[in-house]
Amino acid sequence: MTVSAASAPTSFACPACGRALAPESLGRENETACPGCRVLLNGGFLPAFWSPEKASSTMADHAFDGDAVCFFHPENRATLSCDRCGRFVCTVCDMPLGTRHLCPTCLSSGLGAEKLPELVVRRFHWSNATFLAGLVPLVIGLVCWPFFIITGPLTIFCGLFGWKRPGSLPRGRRRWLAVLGLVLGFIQLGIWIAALLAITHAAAWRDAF
Amino acid sequence: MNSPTTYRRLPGRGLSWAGFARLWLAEDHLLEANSLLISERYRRFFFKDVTALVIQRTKVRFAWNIVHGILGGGGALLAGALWWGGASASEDELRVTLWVLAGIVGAGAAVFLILLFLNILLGPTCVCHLQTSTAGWHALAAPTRLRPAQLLLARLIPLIEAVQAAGRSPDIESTKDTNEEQPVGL
Repeated sequence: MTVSAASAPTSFACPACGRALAPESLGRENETACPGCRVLLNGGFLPAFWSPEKASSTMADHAFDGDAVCFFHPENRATLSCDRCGRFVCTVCDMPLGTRHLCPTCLSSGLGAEKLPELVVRRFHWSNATFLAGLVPLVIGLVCWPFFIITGPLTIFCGLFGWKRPGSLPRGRRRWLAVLGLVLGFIQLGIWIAALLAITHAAAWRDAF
Repeated sequence: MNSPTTYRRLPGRGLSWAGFARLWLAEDHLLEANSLLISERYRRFFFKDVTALVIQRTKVRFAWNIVHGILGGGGALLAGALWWGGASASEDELRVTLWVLAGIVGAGAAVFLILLFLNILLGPTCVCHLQTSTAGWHALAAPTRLRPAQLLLARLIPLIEAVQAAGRSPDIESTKDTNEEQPVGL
C-alpha cells in the first residue's frame, strides 16, 4: 500500500454553517464563536487531520520472480494478507474494514450472513418484540382479550423464533426480556381460555350457585 | 480474529424522533446505536478515519425551558384560579367540580415544572460533530448535553490519537508469521 503524506490543511469548515475557519481557533477547553453563525464551538483535531493520507493506489505493482503474488491476480505483487483467511492480496483486492484488511471473498461472504460484525447496520430485537407483544395487549386488557388468541401465540412465536437470533450489537441478547415476554404470552392464552370457559359455562355455574 | 467485538458504553445519550441513541466504544471504532423499540440502527466511525471532534452548543435547552415554563407556569396560574373560583363558589356541586379541575390542571402543571427543573439540571445542550477523512462532518445523535459531550471528548481524543499514532504496518513481511497461527475460514 503506497501512502504519501499530503500537505496539512490550513482551514476547516464550521459544522454548523460551513464557513472556513482556522484550525488554530478551535480549542479543546475554551469555546470559540464561529464568525459566520455565532455558534459556540470547541473540540480538537487529530493526527489524521494534520497529516492526511492519500487514498491507497488502485494500480497494483507487477510481480517479479521471488515476489509473493496476489491470490486473485497472480501477475500482481501481494502487498497484504487477508486478516481473515490469510490469502495474499494486491492493492486492487485489498478491502480495508476499519483496521482490518480483507480479501473480496471474505468481504462478500460476510455481507449477507452477518458474519462480519463491522458490516451490520441494523438489528431486529426479537426479545423486545416478544416483550412488547406480551405486555401491550395485557395493558389494553379488557378491550383486547378476544384477540389474546392471536397475540398470545404471536408472542410465543416471537420468543421462540428469536431465541437464537443475534441481539443488540453492543448489548448482546437480552433473553430475560424474551422469557418475560413468553410468560406474558402464556398468561394471555390462559386469560383467553379462562374467559371462554367463563362465557360457555356461565349459565351452568349460575344454576349451580 | 472472529471473536465478537466487545463494546464499552460511553457517557451521554440522545433522544429524538428517530429513537434513543447511545455511543459505544470498540477497540478500533466508535459505534452509534440508535434504537427504536424493536430495531436498532448502527453507524461506525473507525478511529483511523476520524480527523476532528467538535462540540457545537445549541439553544435546544433554552427552547424547551420556554415551552415547559409557559405550560408549567400557565397551568399553575390556571389551577390557582380554578381553586380560588371553587372556594368562592356558592353551590357545592360547582365547588367540587372546580376543585377537581384545579387538581387535574395542577398535576399537569407540576409535570411540566418538574421537566423544566430537570432540563435546567441537565445543563446546556449541544451537538457533537465528528469529521472523517472521507465523508466530512457527521452529527452524532448522542450525547446532547454539554457535560457528557466534554467527557466524551476527553476520553476519545487520546484513544484516537493513540490508534492513529500506532497505525498499521502494511508490510507483508510483518504479517507472514502471524498468519500461520490465525484460523482459516469463517
